[in-house]
Amino acid sequence: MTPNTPTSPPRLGAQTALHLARITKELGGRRIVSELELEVRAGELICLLGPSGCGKTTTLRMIGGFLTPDAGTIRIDGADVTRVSPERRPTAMVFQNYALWPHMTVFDNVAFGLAVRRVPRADRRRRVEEMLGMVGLSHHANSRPGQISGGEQQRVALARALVMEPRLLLLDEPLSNLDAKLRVRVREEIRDIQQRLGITTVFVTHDQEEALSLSDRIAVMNDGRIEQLDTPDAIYRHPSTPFVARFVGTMNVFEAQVHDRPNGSVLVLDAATSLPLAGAPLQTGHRLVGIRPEDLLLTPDEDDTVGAVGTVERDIPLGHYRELMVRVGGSRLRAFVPATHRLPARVRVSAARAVSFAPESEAVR
Amino acid sequence: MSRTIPPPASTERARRIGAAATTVGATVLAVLIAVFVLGPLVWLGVQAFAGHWTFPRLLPDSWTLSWWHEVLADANLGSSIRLSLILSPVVTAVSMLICLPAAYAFARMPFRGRRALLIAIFATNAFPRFGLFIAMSSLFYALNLMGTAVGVVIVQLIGTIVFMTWIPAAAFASVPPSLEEAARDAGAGPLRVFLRVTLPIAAPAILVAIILSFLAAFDEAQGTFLVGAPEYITMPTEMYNLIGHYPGQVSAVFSILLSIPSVVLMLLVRRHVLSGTVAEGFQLR
Repeated sequence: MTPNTPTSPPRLGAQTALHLARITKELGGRRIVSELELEVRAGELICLLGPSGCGKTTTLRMIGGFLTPDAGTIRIDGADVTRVSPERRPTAMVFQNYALWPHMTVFDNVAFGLAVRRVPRADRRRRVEEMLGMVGLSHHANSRPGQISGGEQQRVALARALVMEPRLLLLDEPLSNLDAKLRVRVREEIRDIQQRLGITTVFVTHDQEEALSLSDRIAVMNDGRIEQLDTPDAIYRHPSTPFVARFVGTMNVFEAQVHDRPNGSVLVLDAATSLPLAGAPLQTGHRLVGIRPEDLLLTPDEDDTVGAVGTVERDIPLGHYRELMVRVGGSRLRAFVPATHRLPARVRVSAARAVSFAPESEAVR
Repeated sequence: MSRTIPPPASTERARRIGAAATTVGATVLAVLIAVFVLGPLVWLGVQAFAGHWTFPRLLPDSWTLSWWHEVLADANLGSSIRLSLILSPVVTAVSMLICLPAAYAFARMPFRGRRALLIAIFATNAFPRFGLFIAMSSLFYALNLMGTAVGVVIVQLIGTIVFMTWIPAAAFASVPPSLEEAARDAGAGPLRVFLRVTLPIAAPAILVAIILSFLAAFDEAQGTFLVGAPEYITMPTEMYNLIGHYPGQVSAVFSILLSIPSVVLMLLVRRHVLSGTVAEGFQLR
């Protein structure tokens, strides 16, 4: 099969560590993954982000060798591994429930793979101890998985995967069983270790905050396909489909007529309501428009102000910022304003920037 | 404790009475259970040393060791013990060899007729065993298995199959597949995954199955008698002999001898079966 890469070809000099070429998988008569195309560069951390049922875990399991694609090719460092069993792949997986072996000590859990590979005993001991030291669990080497906390189990699972020095590290929602505070800490630890070792990593999550904070690039998945593959900033600032716009971050999405004006675009919501746009002009015509809550500009409704007239319906303090629900014409828009920014009930609304999509795509959804 | 406000006297008394009633109830229950479980055993123990014992008396009129001499001097006893101690482990081993792979298949492979087969295995225990043996004996005659050691092993095997299939199947099924996948991921082939991960985790349940199978084989008398007698006399079939020809005290002595293997087995494995270290540590959602 000839490698064809319709989506972003790898950068010059950046080696491709993993290449999924038109991968398709059906399970129980349903098409879970559909002609998926993905290239992961050596040393980068890619998140597969999407709602449950979008095929992200199935894709990861195919990379790990636990499922075989119905069609398509999987290459790791250029070698075709599509039909290679998991024990022969240069991949290591961290499972969602950690999957530690309860009858072995922490040390033996980490040492198991090395023993299978017939690494000499002294060498094995050194590598396991080094790895346990790195994840800060040296003192638990002789504990059993049942005797340590969830966060510690998580780190054992990570050490068990890393000690094999895999070409590819696969993480299946590794943080979903941890509480919120711990999740952020372990997330930072994982990113830190990943960058220190420079290990190519595929990270599956449904948590967009996790994806935005961890990834070099994010592959937003929907319905068995990748909707957009880009850096976290680009995904957030320039979503390429309405799905990505809605799924990643908060987004006000509405249909409007876009008109050109000398000082920018104007979004006409209805006959009495038009919202001026200060930033880059949008394509004119009937469009599906998306505006981030922090990009909505609210000013008190005075004689000399411009913008659509809006009414603040709810004002929710959220610490360092406030979330406002503003009625503009027939729509309710969400806006984030600084906590100190006091506003009357009647405001004028304009937008600093916006993205737009063809409205047909809305009907397709 | 001292800082807590004492509850009103009446509720305090009611609480104490309730607690006392609970204690009394629990004690009575424990005594009842002890009587039902230990009573027959005590009676058996007394009977084995009883010389003459007339009905209404609580204890025998006289004590004697003669029944023990009688049994231990019996020429057939030694050979029956030896045969039992050889046959039962062989039957258990054969049962493991046949049933454990089957149990794994029942647990992990969704094949056609899986449920029906499981129930069929259970059904061998649903009918009177002797009817089954009678029907089987004609087959055994045809295959020249009557009066052979192989025939005895096969007939004893029947009673072990249900234990050796159902219990390990449940144990294998309860091992999370992700534990096996993690071992594959670490580079282990399917056989090593089974031996290093699945089997050790299922081991306590398999140990229980081995004990129950061993005891089932050890205690099997009807089929063994039908197929093996007179060449192959095991301890339970020898007991039939004794019941027919000797006073009850001899049977009591023999029962005690017969129960030794079970007691020893139970004591040996108690630590492994009861300890929770194997069961703990599953991170299941």
